[in-house]
Amino acid sequence: MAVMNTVIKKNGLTGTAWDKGQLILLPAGLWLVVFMVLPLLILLVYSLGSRDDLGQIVLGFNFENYLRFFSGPYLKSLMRSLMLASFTTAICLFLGTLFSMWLAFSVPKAKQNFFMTLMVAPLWTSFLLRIYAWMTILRPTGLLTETLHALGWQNPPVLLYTPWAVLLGMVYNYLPFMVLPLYASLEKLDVRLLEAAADLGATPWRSFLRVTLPLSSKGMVAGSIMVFVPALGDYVTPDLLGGAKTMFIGNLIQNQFLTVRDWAFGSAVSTILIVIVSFAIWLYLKYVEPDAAQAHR
Amino acid sequence: MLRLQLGNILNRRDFLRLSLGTVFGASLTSCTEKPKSSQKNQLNIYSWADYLHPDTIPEFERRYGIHVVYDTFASNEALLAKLQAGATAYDIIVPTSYMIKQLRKLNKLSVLDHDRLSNFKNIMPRFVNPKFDPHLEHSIPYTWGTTGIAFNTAAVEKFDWPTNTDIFWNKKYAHRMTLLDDARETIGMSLKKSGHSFNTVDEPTISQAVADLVVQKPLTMCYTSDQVIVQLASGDSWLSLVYSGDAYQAQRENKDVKYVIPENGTSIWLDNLCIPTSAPHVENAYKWINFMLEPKVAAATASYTRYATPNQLAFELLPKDVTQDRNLYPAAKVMAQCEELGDIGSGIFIYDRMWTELKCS
Repeated sequence: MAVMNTVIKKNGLTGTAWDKGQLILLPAGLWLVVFMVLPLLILLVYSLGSRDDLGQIVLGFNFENYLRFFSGPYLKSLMRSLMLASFTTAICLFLGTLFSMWLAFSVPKAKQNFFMTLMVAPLWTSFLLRIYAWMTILRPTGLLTETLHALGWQNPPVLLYTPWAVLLGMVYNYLPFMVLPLYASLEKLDVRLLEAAADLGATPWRSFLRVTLPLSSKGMVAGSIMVFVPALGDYVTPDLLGGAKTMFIGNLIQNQFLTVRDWAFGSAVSTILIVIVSFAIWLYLKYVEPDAAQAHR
Repeated sequence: MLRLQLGNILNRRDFLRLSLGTVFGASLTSCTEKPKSSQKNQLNIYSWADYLHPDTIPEFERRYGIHVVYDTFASNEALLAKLQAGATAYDIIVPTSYMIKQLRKLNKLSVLDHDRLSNFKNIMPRFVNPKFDPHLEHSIPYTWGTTGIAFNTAAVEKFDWPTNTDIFWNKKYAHRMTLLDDARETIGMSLKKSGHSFNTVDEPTISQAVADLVVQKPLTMCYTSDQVIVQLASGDSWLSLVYSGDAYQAQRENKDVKYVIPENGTSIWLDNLCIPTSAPHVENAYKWINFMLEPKVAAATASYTRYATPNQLAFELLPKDVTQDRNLYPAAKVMAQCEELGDIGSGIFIYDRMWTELKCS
């Protein structure tokens, strides 16, 4: 370290290495303050205000918006969102684990990157475009129904605008976010451990439970959060694939800002959502990475 | 050594937390585009999608040498929300009449100088002094229409061909019907069906109308305002609550689509050209309004969008089968039963809450 400091000083730069570190952080820090911390503060202030008859925000200090949320039909939309996000996460976790294990253990190293690229490839096109593609497939006169009909099914079920379509779209969209961290942790797993387990007489299921699972749990939790958090706030998928028939928490927020123009209530709901998400991340830090929670205290 | 330090500053966990924040933030923001206002000879229009004849903008650009930027919104509420959020680049906006009063109260509409509009005289007399904007101080009527039922004559059995909105409660057509994703229009339809006003703010009455919609909800394929043309044209939807022009635009692609105005009356609305107080190209905006009031241009608009024109000379240019279509230009008896969507002030809160309840049910 001392050597480095002298080198820096020789070159005409002052300060310690730590100062330099701070300097490197400055653009990102500034970015975070302007585009993250300030908007969050504004959100918090707005959530304590109210709306006038013209839809303008009136600043104030009352918790009516929060009371309104917990007493109205709005709580239902939160419950629904939590359920949808949980189901999405569970299915992504299941599919993601299967895929990652197959990729990490059964595919030769040289080909793994190829399959990983395939997994991520859909993300290169617009999210909306992918949803519209699903709509074309699932429509009453769409590809799926017509194919089933041609195969002899008289009245094939129509998936579009059902909760199943929403779930399908969510899983499809968020699966890569689960696979990325899961694969990253499984890839590092020493396959010899599994061989040892098999040598010692463990069934595949047992070696999964006792070796693979504990060693990849961090990836699983990270992936779950990566899926759960955006799934909780998603409002486009339910709107397009669900036919706007059900209001999730994201739709409620969007509606308050873009239709009803009740920014105060919208801010309150956003704040509640942020608190829930922060709680989830805090749980993650506390139980999954306790050292990290310690370090950040 | 430096690399080591960076590793400490931004380890995997922090990176994870940062990216979580980013993903979360991104899922809640929607992209908004702003037209560039720097260019001098330009006109920025903020209007509804498919609301012009395709030749109209090129002709205007050719004649005046003004570059037109056309940006669209999907609801009056979206328009208002955007203006309130501080959008100042627009020269022309196209709000529906019930929104005019609110925009005026917010001081968003400039007073129009009628002397600069040589074609003002073309407007039908019954449109020059509306209640929502006496003497057209702030707005120029653009097109008007009704909200009614579009149905597929091949899919809906002949004895079921709708004459009123009761058809939306018919189980036979479950999952092939759509209603508008619009609280005022859809709750209003249910209100009107039971003989109430579109503009009522009486809570128990609205509550009953929404209870009827809750019963209807399992039969609905979806609530949509902007995909309905495609759904009708493709045959995905057999019965839809739609704006009149949208039904006719779907008919152009699918001959089986037919539009009717419910016999017990429906909502009637009027869209208007206005100049926001913040407009950077006022001169060009006047040119545009005057251009749109020209008989030929207004007639092209009316024949392409299939919305009704408030322009007398344009009306006279339209073919007979359009002007005599009672579903486009309803008879006086039907008109008397129709209602304009009015500005209901804070009553909108009731509609909002009930609409949310319907969606949560």
